Amino acid sequence: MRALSSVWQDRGARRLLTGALWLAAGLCLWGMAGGWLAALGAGAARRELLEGLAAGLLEQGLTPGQAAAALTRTAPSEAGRQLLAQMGLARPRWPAWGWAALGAGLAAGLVPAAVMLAGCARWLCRREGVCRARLQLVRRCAAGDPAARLPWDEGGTPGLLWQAVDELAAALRAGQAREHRGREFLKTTMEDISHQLKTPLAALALYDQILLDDPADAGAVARFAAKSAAAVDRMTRLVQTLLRLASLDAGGIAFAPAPCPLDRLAADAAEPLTARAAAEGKALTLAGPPGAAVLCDPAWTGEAVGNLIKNALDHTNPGGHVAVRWGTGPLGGWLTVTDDGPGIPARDIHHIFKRFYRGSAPRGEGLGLGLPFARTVLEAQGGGLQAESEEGRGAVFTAFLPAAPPGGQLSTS
Amino acid sequence: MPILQVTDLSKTYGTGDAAVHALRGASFSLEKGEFAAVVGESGSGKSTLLNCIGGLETPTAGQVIIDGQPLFELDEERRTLFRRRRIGFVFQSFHLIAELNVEQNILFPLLLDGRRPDGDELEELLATLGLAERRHHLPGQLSGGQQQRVAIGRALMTRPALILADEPTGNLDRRNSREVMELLTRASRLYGQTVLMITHNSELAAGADRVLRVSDGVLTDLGGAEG
Repeated sequence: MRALSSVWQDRGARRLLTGALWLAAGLCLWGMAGGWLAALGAGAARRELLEGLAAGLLEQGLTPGQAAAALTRTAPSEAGRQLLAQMGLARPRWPAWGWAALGAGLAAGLVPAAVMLAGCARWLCRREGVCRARLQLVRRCAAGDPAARLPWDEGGTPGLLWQAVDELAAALRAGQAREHRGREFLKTTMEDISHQLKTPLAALALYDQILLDDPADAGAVARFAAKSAAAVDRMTRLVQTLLRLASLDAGGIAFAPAPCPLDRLAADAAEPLTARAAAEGKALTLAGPPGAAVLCDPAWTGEAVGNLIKNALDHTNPGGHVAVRWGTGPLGGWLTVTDDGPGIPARDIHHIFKRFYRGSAPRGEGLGLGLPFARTVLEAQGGGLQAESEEGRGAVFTAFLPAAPPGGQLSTS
Repeated sequence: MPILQVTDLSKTYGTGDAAVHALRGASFSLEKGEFAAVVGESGSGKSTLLNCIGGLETPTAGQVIIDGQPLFELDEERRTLFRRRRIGFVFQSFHLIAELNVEQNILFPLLLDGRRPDGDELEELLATLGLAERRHHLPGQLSGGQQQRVAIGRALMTRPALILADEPTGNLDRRNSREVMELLTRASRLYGQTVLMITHNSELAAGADRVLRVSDGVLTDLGGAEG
């Protein structure tokens, strides 16, 4: 019944079944008409025979009563059989109209049979044509023809098949578009790296020149050596972060997911920054239920969360407060980093996850890669990162991660 | 070819001095898997834009092409069929059917089409939505956030070319709003689903791949994040 219901959804199959139904009904009527005609003919032949017999019996001098008795007798007898044998009428004869009736029946049967055959052949040829046309479309999709589209309005199982193939084609096209965007992005990233390195390299060259020009000036040597070290450090961080981001984008990182308690994740991410927070007069607090756990790679995720906390500290004024909270919900585990700093201006908030974007009023020595890095790491593990902020009212960054399966051994690394 | 192409879309209500130009020559396109947010104040024309893209309103001028199909070249009946099969909707007020449970509400568009749901796909979707344990609950037994997740599931079940979300967090508190946004983002990342969301809340748009602003009927592309 299920298969029949599915077939009924297909318009072409529905037409075929309806046509077959009408043809079957027609054939039944035709057969009934033939049987009726045969019965009529047989009845007419019997009456003609009886009329002949009656006439013969009366001519032979039998009284009407005797003739009627003879005509109504239906029980056979041996004497009667012997009489018919003497007359040569013992075996039933093929009636004169028999061949005509056979011929008429054959001709009558040929008509619906021909209609049925022609209908089936036509339907199959049309279906073959449709399949060939779709095959051409699939080949065009495989060849990357952006205009190739399979139909969306067919019903039944063929409709589902075309939809699945179209989804596959759309995914292939999207893959090609992503590849193209990836190549463009790589080109842009190389240009950005070149641009980002140009300035510190020029500065390094300048510092070297100054040091070479006046190596005896201890104060200048110390000052510009420190500046050189800072520039080298910045360039190292830039290149390392970009290389890791490129590996993440290319899917070249093998995460090692394990059940991680959120309190541990938050504590490990915050620990390297607590001294800085204290030195800058900023409060850094952690709070959340002890049993909440997520499934993630603790090292990568810890770094992502660390980036969020660092970003919050960068954008909080002395005396301010950065709060790290966590919990679990219907979508898995969540961790928020909230600050009460100046917030993100409306003109910047749509761009904060762009690489190298540092906002219209950048703070600190960041590269503009921390948030994009955090988002990439979280999304690569089936999670996500959201930001909410209003200028003057701080910011909240929410990281989502899949919940750890119950009963799993928790990672303590 | 983009999944959605909007070209010079305009919508005017009324005529003469009383004419209201709700939308003026809006043009943009979305690639498969993009999550775009349209932001703007109340009355800016965002809902008109969404309704025209969804075929719920006929524009005065311009063209909407979804997955290669010019939407307004279809007659009303075929446009309804196209909308059912190729576009998913998520509304501010959820619009669930009160007499059907969670599972039935999610499967409703499939059943309307006479299609048989895939059991594994349904189980995976319920798990992603965090509704596996509430599958037999009626909408009246769910919170606002849960109801909106059912609505998102209903939109995702038919694997449409495009999901249109009209202020999906408008009736939700902050935590539920974050969860809904996370779900829409996951839909675009995990299922390659193209999502167009309108919201008056600029903050929520931060997580989208593209942000477009509508102001007084004029659409401006604010750009998006790479990668």
